[in-house]
Amino acid sequence: MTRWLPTSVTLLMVLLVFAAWHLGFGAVKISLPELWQTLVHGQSDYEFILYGYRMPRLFIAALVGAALALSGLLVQGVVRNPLASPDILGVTGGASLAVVGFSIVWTGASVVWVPFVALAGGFASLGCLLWLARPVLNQSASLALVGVALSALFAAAIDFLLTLYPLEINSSLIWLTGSVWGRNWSHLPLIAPWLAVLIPVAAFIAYRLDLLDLGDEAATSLGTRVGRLRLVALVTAVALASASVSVCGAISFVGLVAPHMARFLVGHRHLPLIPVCLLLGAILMVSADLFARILMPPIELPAGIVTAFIGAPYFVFLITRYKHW
Amino acid sequence: MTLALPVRRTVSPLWRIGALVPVLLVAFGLALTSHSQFDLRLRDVVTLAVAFDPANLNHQVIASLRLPRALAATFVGAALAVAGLVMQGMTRNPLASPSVFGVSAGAALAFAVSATGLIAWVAALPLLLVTFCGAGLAGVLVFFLGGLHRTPIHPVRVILAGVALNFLFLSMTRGAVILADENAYGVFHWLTGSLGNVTFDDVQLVVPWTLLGLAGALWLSQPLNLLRLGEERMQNLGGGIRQVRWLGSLVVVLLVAAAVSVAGPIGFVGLMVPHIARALIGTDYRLLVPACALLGAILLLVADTLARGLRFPNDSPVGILTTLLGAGFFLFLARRKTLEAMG
Amino acid sequence: MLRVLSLFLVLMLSGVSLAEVRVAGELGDVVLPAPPERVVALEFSFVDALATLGVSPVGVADDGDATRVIDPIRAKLNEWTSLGSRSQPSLEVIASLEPDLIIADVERHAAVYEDLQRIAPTLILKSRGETYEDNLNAVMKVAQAFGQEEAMAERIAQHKATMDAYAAQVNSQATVQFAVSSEKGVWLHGPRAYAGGVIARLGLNSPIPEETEQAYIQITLERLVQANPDYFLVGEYGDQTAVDTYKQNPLWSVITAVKNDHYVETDPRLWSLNRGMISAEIMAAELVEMLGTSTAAQ
Repeated sequence: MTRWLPTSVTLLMVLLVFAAWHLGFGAVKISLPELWQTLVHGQSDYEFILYGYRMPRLFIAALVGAALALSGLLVQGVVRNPLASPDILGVTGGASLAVVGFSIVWTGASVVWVPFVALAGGFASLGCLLWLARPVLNQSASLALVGVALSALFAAAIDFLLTLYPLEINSSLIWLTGSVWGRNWSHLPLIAPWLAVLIPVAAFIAYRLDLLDLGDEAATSLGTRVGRLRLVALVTAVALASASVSVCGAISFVGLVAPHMARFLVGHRHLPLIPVCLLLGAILMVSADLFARILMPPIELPAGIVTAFIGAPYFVFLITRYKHW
Repeated sequence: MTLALPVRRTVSPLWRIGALVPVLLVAFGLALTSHSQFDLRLRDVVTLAVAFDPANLNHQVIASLRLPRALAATFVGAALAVAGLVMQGMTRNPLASPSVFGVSAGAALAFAVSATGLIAWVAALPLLLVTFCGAGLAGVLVFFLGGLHRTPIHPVRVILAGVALNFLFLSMTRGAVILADENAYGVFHWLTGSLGNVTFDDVQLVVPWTLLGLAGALWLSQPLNLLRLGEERMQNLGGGIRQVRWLGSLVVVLLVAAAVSVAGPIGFVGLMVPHIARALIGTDYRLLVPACALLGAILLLVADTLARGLRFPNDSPVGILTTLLGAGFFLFLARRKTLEAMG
Repeated sequence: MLRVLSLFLVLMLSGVSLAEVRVAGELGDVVLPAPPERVVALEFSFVDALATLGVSPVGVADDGDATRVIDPIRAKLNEWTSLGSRSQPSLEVIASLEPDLIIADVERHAAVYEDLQRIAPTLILKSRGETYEDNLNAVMKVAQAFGQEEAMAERIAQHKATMDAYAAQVNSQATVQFAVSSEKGVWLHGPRAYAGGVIARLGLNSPIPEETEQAYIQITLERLVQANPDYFLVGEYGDQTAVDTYKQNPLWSVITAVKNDHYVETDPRLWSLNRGMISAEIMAAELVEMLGTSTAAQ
């Protein structure tokens, strides 16, 4: 309880540092004093780049990262396994399949529709998951299993479609890996409202999720409606993940790594975990997008690649550190 | 001490394995002649076997294009199926397979890095070495991350570790592919697993290593039988679990590396075939290993033939069929397992 | 060539009008108050068009490698700033260059069309996956943006005459096929692809005329032997590619092109990356050389 406040403040500082770095660096460098001048006094040569390009990217990356991290936290709470992530529920797979299918069937369609299609796909895959795993929602292992199988099926379907319609490969691949390129202020309403609504929901069920950690019988005896709790947590997680996917495509590992790191920092109680998770997710995405832009300028990598490469050494760390299951 | 292992009461399992051989031959014949604009017939196969005529175009097509492809399908199918069997035996998890657990993906990542030339010195190394290291690295990671080095194993941990690693390697491979925009088409299709451009060199690569791996798996069949009884019982009976796991992992990595080097990461063969084999043969690993090898070969031959027909006359990668079928099978298994667990 | 350039000069000087120009793009019209001076191109086909007009772009999305543009085109242009990859060009570099006109690819850049328009008037045209005819239309639109329609129309007419001349020289019913080869596959560029279009323009036939849906078709050696082109051109990406494995197969020598020594390895940048009139004419010249030698030998 006492650790989360200083941790959160420190993380906030870290986020601000990365944010400043994100705003200042890229193919066009803006030095710190110029940055300050543009932000405070509002006029300089860099106004367009800053306000029109980097600032929206910064906000979107931070919000998407936060949403994915929170989604991961909830999934790990439901599945009771720290190696779980929103991807294993088939959410990202379902959303991606919906987008690929949509762009193949309606080749000329405007890109405006993509976020909504992704959202629909995410919820449809949740529907599939619930239908298939309804009897075993309370058994984390079985739920994870069905989710994994479902995501495998979606991935197979995506490969199948892309093989039959190869012209979509390049653009689909970039979308499937996740990128913050080309996201601007108009994408903000696609993610911000979801966070505004669902963070309080997560905070509301946080205490009950702690009870879940004790085991189903213990939780039930303490008055928790275990089945309904899991359902609420799942729907929240899927909504957050779908919204993220609809904005940035399928970003990997943020939903896996952030909650894990958060647990390492502040323990297992969900209420303090929430702000720490959000901040960590934001930091991960912002730094990923930053490195994606500054590694080989002016070439911009999709941010999803960088998050995948961050995941790699983190796994090695996991192997050595994690003891109990 | 002999153990009374469950055996089907009707037809002896050995006969069933024997019955698979003619099925394999039929599938092989189909693979040699089907779906071609050259009008290939079985008759051509026979005349070719009797007296090969280099001037006969049909003979040439069968001999230099279809034959290596069918041979590769046979051995790759066998390799993947047996690798899956050994994985399922070692982890005592019916959902284990090289593609689910990221071993194939690790090999594929190594290949992608080599093929796109992203890291120059990697591209200079021989391909099998590269994929072997990739598969080996993935195997090591799953081994430790999934807790296979300890006893007892937690089935969920292993699956989730494998899935997470699979996803990691897949993302990194996609990254490598995107960076090499111009070659994206070629590498992407390879990544779904394809036998389209197989040559006799590839066959020479895959055959000896597959046979070696199969021999290793046969050697492991009795220990795996013991392991099936439970880890504690196996230790009481003097079996070395650690050695079994190490050797089993080595066999799996070898088989997967050989298969992936030639055909790319073909998915789910190692998942489906052991289940079909178990339904036919029972649970004795000494019989399951040859059965899986035969069934794996048959499955891949048939799948490759079907893939050829999908967009005829253009080729389709066989991987998309096995993955679609296999993922459905996986889902079915997962659901059945969960319903069983409910009691 | 000098005549054409001087014609351009005259027309450009006389074309300084105060009337604004409106060009219809794929997603919307672009309105230019004056002929643009600082132009940014987000695909190679536009660079070809600009070189024909004698305009040097200030920025090109060249995948980080300026040599991807073939030498004859680069020779006509000044150095440019790289914008990064064609699929994700750096919007900030574009903005920092302060262009008057951005020429973008509808297939890759539709998603950022609005962002681009906020930087500068954006002409969004077909590029990736375009056919030979599509390209000529796109080039005409680029010329419109500079008020150079007449000059461009003349250049296109000249191009048509050149291509007709090449076609007359060729005068053959032979089948010609271009393919791209990389480490793990060979891709034929069918009749729908740009290379296929140029081949058809010269009156040559395609060995795979039934492939009307996809532009790029991945093949195996068996398919290639079935297609059996009379002339086969391959652009290799890398040293050891799939086509080298084909060469070791006895069926390779059964292909008509190989039998008659009509197999040529050419530059994939020319045949696949840089699409435009300049490239097309060089491609046609290569084809004439290939087919010319055979008719001369006969």
